[in-house]
Amino acid sequence: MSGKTPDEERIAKLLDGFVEELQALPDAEVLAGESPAAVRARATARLARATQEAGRRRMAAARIQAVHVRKQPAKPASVAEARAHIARVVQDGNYTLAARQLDEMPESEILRLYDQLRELEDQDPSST
Amino acid sequence: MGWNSGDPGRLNHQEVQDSLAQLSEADLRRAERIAGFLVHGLTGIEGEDLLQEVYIKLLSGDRRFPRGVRTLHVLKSAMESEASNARKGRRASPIDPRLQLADVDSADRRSPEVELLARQQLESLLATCSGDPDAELVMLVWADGLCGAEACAATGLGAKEFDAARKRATRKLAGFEVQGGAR
Repeated sequence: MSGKTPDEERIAKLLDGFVEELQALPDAEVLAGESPAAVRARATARLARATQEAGRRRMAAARIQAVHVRKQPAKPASVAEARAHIARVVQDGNYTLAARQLDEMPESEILRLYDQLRELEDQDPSST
Repeated sequence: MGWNSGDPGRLNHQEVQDSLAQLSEADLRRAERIAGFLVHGLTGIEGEDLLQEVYIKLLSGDRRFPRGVRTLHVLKSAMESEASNARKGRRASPIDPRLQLADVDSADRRSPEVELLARQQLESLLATCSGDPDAELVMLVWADGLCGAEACAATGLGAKEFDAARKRATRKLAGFEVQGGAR
């Protein structure tokens, strides 16, 4: 089912008949005395405007997508994953934390620290 | 939608741009005349607006440009769909990547307002040939989906009269104001 109303269907069929005839019309008749250069100039300007606007919309869409992705709740890490990640970051020298502190840290604290580190990484991916 | 769908059946951004740039002057004029047909009787939208919007959506990847299909046909189909959206008075948001045109394509199309608008537009199109009963008859049989010899037979006109009426109907719908004159 097309979802069109009966009159929309008739408009579509009328359009098909019209387009068939329009395509059969010789080019000179379609131009109807208008200079090809004027048509070309109009089309070039249209294409330039459309290219610019399409780029703008794609950028806007990408920004929305990025915000959407960032707002997705992070996949909860297991305590083991969180501990390994923290250890790796500490080993890289970005933060200071004694190994013993990490071993003795309660699970809830490990997960909290892991979330904080991920948030910092999201803000500045070069920091890790 | 955008360009990241990895669909080999659609042109990429550069190919879309090239296809649009390579349209002949006559096909550009045909596209403009199709746009004029589609906005006939609609308020608040010009043919150029419709054509421009379709260019933007093809270039941004919001509309698919199928590979191997003539550019004029792609423009015609896309403009038809955009005009339908304009009739519904709700255009797809250009900046929401999650919204696809299909989302607004069927749900509430059959509202009385949409039906009334479509009726008014059809009447307005048929009225372009008022005063020329043969040309109006040709438009009516086209609107019934008939073409060629079948359309000629349905009008009851002779072949020559039908041919002449068919040309007049085309010229009227294309917006030619006077024979041989630019719009």
